[in-house]
Amino acid sequence: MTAMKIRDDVAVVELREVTKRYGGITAVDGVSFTVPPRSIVALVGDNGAGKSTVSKIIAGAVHPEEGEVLVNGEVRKSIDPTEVRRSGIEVVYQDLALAPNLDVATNLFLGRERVRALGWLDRSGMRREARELLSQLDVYVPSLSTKVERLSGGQRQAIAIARATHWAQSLVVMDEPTAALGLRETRKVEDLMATLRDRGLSVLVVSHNLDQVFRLSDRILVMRRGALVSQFETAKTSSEEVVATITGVM
Amino acid sequence: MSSTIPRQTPGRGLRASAPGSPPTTPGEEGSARKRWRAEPPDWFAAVAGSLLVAIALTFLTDSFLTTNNLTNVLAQTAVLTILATGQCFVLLTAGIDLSVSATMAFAGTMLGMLTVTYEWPVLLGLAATFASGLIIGLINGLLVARFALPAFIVTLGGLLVWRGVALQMVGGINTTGLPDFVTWLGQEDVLGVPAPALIALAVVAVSALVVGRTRFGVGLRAIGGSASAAERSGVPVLRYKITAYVVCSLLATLGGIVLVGRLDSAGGSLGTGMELMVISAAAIGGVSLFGGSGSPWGAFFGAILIGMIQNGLNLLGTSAFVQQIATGVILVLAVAVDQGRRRLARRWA
Repeated sequence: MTAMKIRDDVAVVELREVTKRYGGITAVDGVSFTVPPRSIVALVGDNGAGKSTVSKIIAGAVHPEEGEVLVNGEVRKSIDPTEVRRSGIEVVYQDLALAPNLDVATNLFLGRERVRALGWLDRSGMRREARELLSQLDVYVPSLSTKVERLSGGQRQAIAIARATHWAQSLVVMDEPTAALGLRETRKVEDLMATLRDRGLSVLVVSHNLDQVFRLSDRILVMRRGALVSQFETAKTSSEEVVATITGVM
Repeated sequence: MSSTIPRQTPGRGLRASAPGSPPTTPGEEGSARKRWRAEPPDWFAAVAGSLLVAIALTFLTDSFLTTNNLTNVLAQTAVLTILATGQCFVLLTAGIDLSVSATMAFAGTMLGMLTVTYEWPVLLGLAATFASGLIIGLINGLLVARFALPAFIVTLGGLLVWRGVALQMVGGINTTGLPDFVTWLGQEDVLGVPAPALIALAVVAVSALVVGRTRFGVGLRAIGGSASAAERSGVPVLRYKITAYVVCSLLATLGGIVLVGRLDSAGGSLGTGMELMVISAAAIGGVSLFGGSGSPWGAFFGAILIGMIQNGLNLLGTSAFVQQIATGVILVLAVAVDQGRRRLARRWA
């Protein structure tokens, strides 16, 4: 987060007429939307509506057949996850993508370890940074040396989000971040999302939980059968209206 | 980011303010004892076993606890240690290399043929031998990592192929009269310590640093824990996996060079069946066969334990068959102790 790439006048990410097909099925059908800076955008819709595919396209894990993805105002050419990370976008995957056998500090820096002369890991530096990060985000773990497999679901989620927060420069994409969590842990994750926005980042969250969407988001995108059917300002809509759009009654 | 944040004083630890978290703030990282109990080192069982065996043999025999015998144990286990250390790299990625002893035999035969039969200068012969080890490692690594073939099958094939090639090259006849430098590596003492033991210790120490203190080492363990998580975290999974097989083959090559130096004899039947000892040594030393945990020191202690048992049974005058039985029992016992210890640690945590 040292070099913020956020510009207030440009969307952190923009999709233009993006289409993705799997065989004969059109998973994402001509979808266009923008994620403005410093905002939480919720992507809602029924199962199979194409939400996860959209998040994977932004993450660089899935390549659309048509349309373009703009990051910080520039059309993205390369589409590989490492490049996407370099462009300042972090993804919190549904399975979290943590190495269960490694400890908390190691996971926070996995793939981006700090090294000193001769390539030796700067372990004390990384631990210090990890401790600061977790304390800023009010994330509690028994110890930085605890293996991730020993943590609770909520703690793991918090570690994955903390990692994304640490490295993201413009956007954090979260796919169903609270689907597997209890009430208290869900609240903690929601607090973290709000913290991200306070820090100047944007969040694109795929969620089934409408209460949560209304509590947190600035904008709601509704997908149905691969298409983006509606966009709402959260403050100017009601859950009845959103539910009706999701189910296609309206 | 870190510059704007006041440094926390060590010992305050992480704030325990998340809802649902215990009200107490644990110490920085817990006491050393607590950490040990929560996560005892992987090589714990092997070290404990080695000590027990050493104590037992000290009482059972007159000759075990003599400098002469102990250096002998070190020298005899050197090749096993070198190969088990190499195996550790591959095991960490949740792979396996069954072709190590065949690679070792191939390398030894290659060196003998080049330097004795063709009278190449020794350094050129060594370079060519290491180059062939590198190629074997690349073949294994590419087939496993790039073409996603099962490591077990690829290296089982390699086991047959490389030993066959070695036997074919020299027509099943061993070469003797290796260059002085090679026999020196295998037989001489340096300050009272056999050169093979020094080579093995250096290999273990450097490997332990690489595994424990470099991005490559962290990457290997991450791959063993979850290759897809490692990939998505930006670990160069393909490159690291291939490198692990290359390191393993290069160390098998080094083992082969030391072994032919020790025996002053090079041929395709060198160390037949040793791959199972190598994997046993690593497993006894707490290197997980499922990947993700273990260290070269573990492989070292595992090899030492096997070496001490063989040495002890020799001193006691038992047959080679009994040694094989004992090694098998120790293997299962060590892994059982290790599993039990982990289960206990989990219950305490």
